Amino acid sequence: MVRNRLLDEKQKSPVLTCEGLRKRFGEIEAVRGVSFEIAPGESYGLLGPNGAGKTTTILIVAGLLEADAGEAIVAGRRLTTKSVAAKSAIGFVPQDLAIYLDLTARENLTFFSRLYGLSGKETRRRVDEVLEIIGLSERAGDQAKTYSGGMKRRLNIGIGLLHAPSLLILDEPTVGVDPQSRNAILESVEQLSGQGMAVLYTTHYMEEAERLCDRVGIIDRGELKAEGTREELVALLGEHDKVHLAGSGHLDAAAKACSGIGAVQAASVADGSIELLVEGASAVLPQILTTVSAAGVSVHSVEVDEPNLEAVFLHLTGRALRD
Amino acid sequence: MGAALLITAKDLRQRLRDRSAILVAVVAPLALAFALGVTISGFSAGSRTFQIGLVDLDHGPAASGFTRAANGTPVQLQAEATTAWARRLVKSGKLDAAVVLPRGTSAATLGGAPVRIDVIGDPNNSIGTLVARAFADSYASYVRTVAVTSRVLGSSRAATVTVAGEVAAAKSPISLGDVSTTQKNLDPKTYYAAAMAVFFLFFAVQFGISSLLNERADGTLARMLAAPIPRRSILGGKVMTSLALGLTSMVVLALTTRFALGAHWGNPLGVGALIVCAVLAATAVTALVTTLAKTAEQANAFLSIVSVVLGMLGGSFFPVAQAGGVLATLSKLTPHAWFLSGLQDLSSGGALSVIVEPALILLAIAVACGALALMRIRRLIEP
Repeated sequence: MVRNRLLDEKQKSPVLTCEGLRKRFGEIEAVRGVSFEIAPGESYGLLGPNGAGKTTTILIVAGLLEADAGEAIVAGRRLTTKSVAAKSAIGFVPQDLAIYLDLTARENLTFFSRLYGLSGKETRRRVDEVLEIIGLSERAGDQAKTYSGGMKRRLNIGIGLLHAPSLLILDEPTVGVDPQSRNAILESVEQLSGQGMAVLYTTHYMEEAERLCDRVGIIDRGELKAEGTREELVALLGEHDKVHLAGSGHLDAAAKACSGIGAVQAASVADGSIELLVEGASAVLPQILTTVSAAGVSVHSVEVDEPNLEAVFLHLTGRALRD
Repeated sequence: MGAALLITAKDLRQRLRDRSAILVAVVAPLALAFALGVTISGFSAGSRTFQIGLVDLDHGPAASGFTRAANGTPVQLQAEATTAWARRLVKSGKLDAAVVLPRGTSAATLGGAPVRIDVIGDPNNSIGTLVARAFADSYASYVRTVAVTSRVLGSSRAATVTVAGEVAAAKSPISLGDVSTTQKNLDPKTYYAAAMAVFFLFFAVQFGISSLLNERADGTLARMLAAPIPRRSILGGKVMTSLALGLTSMVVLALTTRFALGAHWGNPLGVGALIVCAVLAATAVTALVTTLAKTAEQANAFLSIVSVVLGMLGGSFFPVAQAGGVLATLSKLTPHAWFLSGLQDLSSGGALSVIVEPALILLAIAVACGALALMRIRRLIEP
């Protein structure tokens, strides 16, 4: 009983804890007191534009860069550039391709597997497994320089999986990748996350953060502005769904009639369409359409814009994600 | 140690696969050693025969005396009918030079009127001309000796002929030795085998330590740094790659030139010790130069310049130390010069102790450059 409770406690303790991380390069403070945690099996996204401090944070968390202040604890061990034990819990997938092009996929995987301390037998088993996961089993004996861009990307990710790390760090793995390979990468990450591996994922693509991450941290100018689930972040925004009704007829009268519906916070007419600010649009949309028709409007199209992380980012920083 | 060995094995696999190391560490030095050794050997009196034309306008016994004098020398005399024909052969390069014995040479030997022996040479073959001139000089000395002896003794013509025969057959009471030159200098094949080996050594070891900059640019260094291994393992792996490539290059070259070109490197133990010291020095110098660069391209440029300059000053292309003056002093600052000097001492038959000084100086270069490199190399092992 006691043992089980201890195991549960251990499983609940975060895989990664960052507390007040700071890093300065000359005059520029790239990371300013960043703190967050990642639980086992959780996918955490660091969302921010280029130059927001994502990669510097990642480099500290991967043990590649020493923080000026604060600390990172991985699997219960304090992480520094010299902490060998803490690093063994991390799988790191850098932003750029970091593979040996003149070695085969098998040779690349074998080299890094041995570097991570796996024995010869374990290495052979894990290399075969990872080749299967990244779909390169049939090309395992070809030099990486003969691979397509997507295959190289998959090999780049595969290296990070070799030692079955507790925490997989992916630094913008889809930058410069074609849509097909991008989708394959996202599916791989979803799969790994589903298998219980904690994932730290940086991106400046809002769609990726929304699709992959259980929780998202919004980072800008080295500061973590907010974090939480997508819903929690959207709630911070305090905005509601925007419903656009394009049609013909008595639009003003229809808008007035809609404002009588409890969930509708605001109704206006602009550019030949009715715009409504609605709380939980999907639930009240049928009632809205009935009301509009009853007011003598023939509806041609309906568009519902849900608030997203991009809007949250805009709200929190005053800048667009791709700025 | 395990991680360092893994990195070395990976590096060596890469270098063998792209054949760059084989080309730089073995093929290029071997080809140049062969080309230079054979070419320079062609100019060595000890290893080639000079074709000297002999135009006998005297038609007396002098020509046979002249021919007899060529026995046992690197000169092969070839009778030519006329001076004009001999001149044409010299000009076309078919003869190294020619000697014209004028009418009256035999008579001059027996006390007759003095004559002048002409040497026909080609300005482009100064060595051939010098050999023919020395040979003619030697004959003139012989004639002078006979003439003086006959005059002093008041000999008759018959007695003079006897004196001439005696002088020709007599062994010189004084012999010349080449202790300060031939024995101290390596023969051309060995010299250029060793010189090219140590010259290309500086290029071969670059594949190890300076590849840190390539790995940093390619992102694979960051990946290694993220692995649970100490940073010193990465550095150790790269240094071991340099040492392995350097040692392999030197040993392969020593053995190949020994058996294929007939180079005489000397006592294997001493040669081995000199090779190890030279490889350590080359690796340390390369590491230090690499730390001065910011990018792989910059490192390649710096290392090429340093390797060529050290090679030239150190005597890889010609024995600079023999030029004396500032060049000789500068030469002593290079590992190349000390390596070649050690080999020269060793091949002159000296005991193993003769390599102590060059070996210690090579080690001192290795320690000094290695220490400076270690102080600066930290910034290379960063993502």
